[in-house]
Amino acid sequence: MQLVEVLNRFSWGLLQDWVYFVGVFLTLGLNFAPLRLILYSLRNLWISLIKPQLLIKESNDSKEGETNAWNAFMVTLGGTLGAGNLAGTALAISLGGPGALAWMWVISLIGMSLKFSETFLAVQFRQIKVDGTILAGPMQTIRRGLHQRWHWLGTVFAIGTLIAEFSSGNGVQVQQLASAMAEFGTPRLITGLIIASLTWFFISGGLRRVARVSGVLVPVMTLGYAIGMGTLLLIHHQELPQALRLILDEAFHPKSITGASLGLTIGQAVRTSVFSTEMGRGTTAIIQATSRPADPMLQGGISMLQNLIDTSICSATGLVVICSGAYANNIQSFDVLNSAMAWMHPGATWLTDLATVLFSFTTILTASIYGERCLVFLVGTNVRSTYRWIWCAALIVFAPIRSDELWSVSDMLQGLEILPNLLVLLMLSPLLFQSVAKRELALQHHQNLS
Amino acid sequence: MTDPATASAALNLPLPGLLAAIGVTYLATLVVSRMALHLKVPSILSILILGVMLSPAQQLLSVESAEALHTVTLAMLLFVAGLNSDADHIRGFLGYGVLLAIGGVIISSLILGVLIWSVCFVLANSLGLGISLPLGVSLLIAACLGSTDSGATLSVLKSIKDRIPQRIRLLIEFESSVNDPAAILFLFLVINLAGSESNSAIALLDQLQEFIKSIGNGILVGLIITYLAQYCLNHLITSKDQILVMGISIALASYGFSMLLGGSGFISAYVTGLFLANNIYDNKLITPELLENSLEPFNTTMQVTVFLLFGMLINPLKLPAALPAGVLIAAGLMLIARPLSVMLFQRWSPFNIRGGLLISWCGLRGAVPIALGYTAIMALPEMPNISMSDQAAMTNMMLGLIFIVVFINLTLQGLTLPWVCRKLEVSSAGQT
Repeated sequence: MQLVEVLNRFSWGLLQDWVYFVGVFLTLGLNFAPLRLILYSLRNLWISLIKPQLLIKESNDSKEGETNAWNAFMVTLGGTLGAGNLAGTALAISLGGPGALAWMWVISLIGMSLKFSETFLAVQFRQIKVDGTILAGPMQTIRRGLHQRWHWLGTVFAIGTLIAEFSSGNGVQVQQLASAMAEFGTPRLITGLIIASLTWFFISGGLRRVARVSGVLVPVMTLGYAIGMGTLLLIHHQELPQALRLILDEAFHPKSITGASLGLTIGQAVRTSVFSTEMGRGTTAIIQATSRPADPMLQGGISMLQNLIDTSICSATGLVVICSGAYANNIQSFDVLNSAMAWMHPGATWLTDLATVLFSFTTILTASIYGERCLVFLVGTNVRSTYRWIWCAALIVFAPIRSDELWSVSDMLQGLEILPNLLVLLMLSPLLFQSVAKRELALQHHQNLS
Repeated sequence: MTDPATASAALNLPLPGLLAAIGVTYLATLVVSRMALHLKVPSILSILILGVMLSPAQQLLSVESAEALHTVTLAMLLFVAGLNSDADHIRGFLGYGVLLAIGGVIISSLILGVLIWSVCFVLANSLGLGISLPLGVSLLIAACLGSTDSGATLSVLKSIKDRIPQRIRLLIEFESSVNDPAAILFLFLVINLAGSESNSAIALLDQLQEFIKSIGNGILVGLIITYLAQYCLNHLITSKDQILVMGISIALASYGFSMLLGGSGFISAYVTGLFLANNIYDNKLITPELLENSLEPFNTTMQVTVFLLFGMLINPLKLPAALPAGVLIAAGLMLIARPLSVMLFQRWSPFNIRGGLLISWCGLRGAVPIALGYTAIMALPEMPNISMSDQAAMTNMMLGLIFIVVFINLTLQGLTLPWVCRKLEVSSAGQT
């Protein structure tokens, strides 16, 4: 497995930089549109929860869609929230110092342009199949937006995503879930069986059924985790000002306590941010772009909010770790978070364990849709139910295994989705910049009228 | 460059005297350029010779200042090369142009590298002339000699303008702009691969990663700087005379930021130039041509300075050692490496065989190889199995070889190009 380790380091050494360079480029090219559209998008997200019909009525674009924008957003958010927000953040802080948290914010704000652009293009190039499935995402953008000689890139993306979802969306998640359930005393195989049957129940109903459960489960678990962590932080409110000062101080002057240099701090922040918000992977667009209405500005704006929510969850974890001071003592990521939680409130580790269970479960559901859409792109719609069986079987197989190697493999495979996605973003950037500017003008005009 | 006080002290001249000397030197470059035009050789050749004649003044230039100077010059040269790579001009054979530039550099450098290695080996061992070089060092020299110079070629072609088809002229211009970054990349690849200490696969992979990263980061940072530059050009320029300042600062910023962020500065400068040239500006004052035209005088000044100074750095007394090998290698470059690298891609060429022959004779080497020579020397200590004493000898050998090859190449091809052009009669039959 040394080979995997080496290849992993090889591809990530390259991708890490490229993801945020492309993010900076898009942010500049879009004239900071993603940052300016935050309020507009928050409003849209809220309306899509309380009056989804209003959004559809307001929009001039196609009203077709598999779900509404709120549910689609919650499905993708459920896929994004995961280990990166818990153990990943704890690890980033123990390796890069508290300053890493500040940099994670910077990077996720820049990364919003990636999410926005991916979804914007995906909505423009989406395609409705005969059975009502809407195919969208980077592979579809490549097929319909680029010259024929680039179409192999779409295939690379689809294959890369399909395999990566099996490792990072299926294997890694169910292993974590089983470990967390083991804390509550459930044997790993039993966990695997339960999760597989639950998953089968939801994904056999397609995106619509997954969307219905995620639309409720994801906001509840997100808010629940935030409130839980918030309460813990309130109990220790006297530590908070000190922790915030540490974050800001060490953002530029990492202390020797963790042995981090500025480069290492930023590197850790980039890696954690990319891993946890899935920026640059292009998967979010696969689901977000299928929702109604087909307004690229609206859907792009909503999907980029993921970065904000995801990084807020990371910050909650990060603050707990920093307040407890646990990052300075341990290097093992899971121990850092556990000892931080124990310091916060004896017996509070159940909160992170429960969060792991829920976050992993929603990720498994979302990842199955990502993989399925890529498979449909590659071979057509008639393999769908076979795929779903294999997906659930894989859950049972992976649950009892405990290995870190799967992490490395899944890390490496993500390179195969990131590279084609970044390329298509760069190649279509002139088109993107133009249409966003046009849409923004129309939007301003509309707002002036009303 | 060294500061005026120490320089004037070294020359035992007061400051006004030094300034007068500098002024006269630059005027002299113009005089020899005029003479070169008369003799129908590229003007840069005459400036190089003038530099060699002034070589007793070389204590003016420390190693550090030579390094700084060649970096700045290369960054500027590549930025302007990017500005010159106008894809619109060679519409219809863009693919062939890129193939010729990139494939040509790789193939001619590989052939030339082997040639240099074998020539030096045979001469040193059988005749005792010069020293033999390891294959890695030979490839380094070959990589330096990979890029052609459009300025030199075009200055010769000027006199026979009506005899050479417009399309071949544009192709040569485009090729020489694109093969600059190609040659630099190839050089860095050789340095990285030959310079890795251990031969284990992991170390090699690390070097490869470093190499890919420097290209990727260079391109992306170049794109970002292009965007910022575009903004500055649109919003900060209020009169045309500010464009030169803007151009210089864009090129240097692109190089610097890319290096700071782990990319290749030269690639970044090239990419920035490339995208700025193929762009439309809101600011009515600015057109891509204007950008190019206003940078041209500065670029010429830089080139003249570099030729003068690199001429000064050559010690004529050490040239004879490299002379026999240099002559053979120059012949090999002109008669074997370059024609082969052009003819190999003849299948995709829009021109016939005569056109191909003319293109292969138009591979004049100029400022970039000489400037790259100094980059290659800097890499010499990182090469394995070279002792300190060998290093000094090799440095002289490398610089000598590059100088002689460029010299012969410029003289011979420069002088014979009009004649070859007539013989091949491409003007009428050049296009298929």
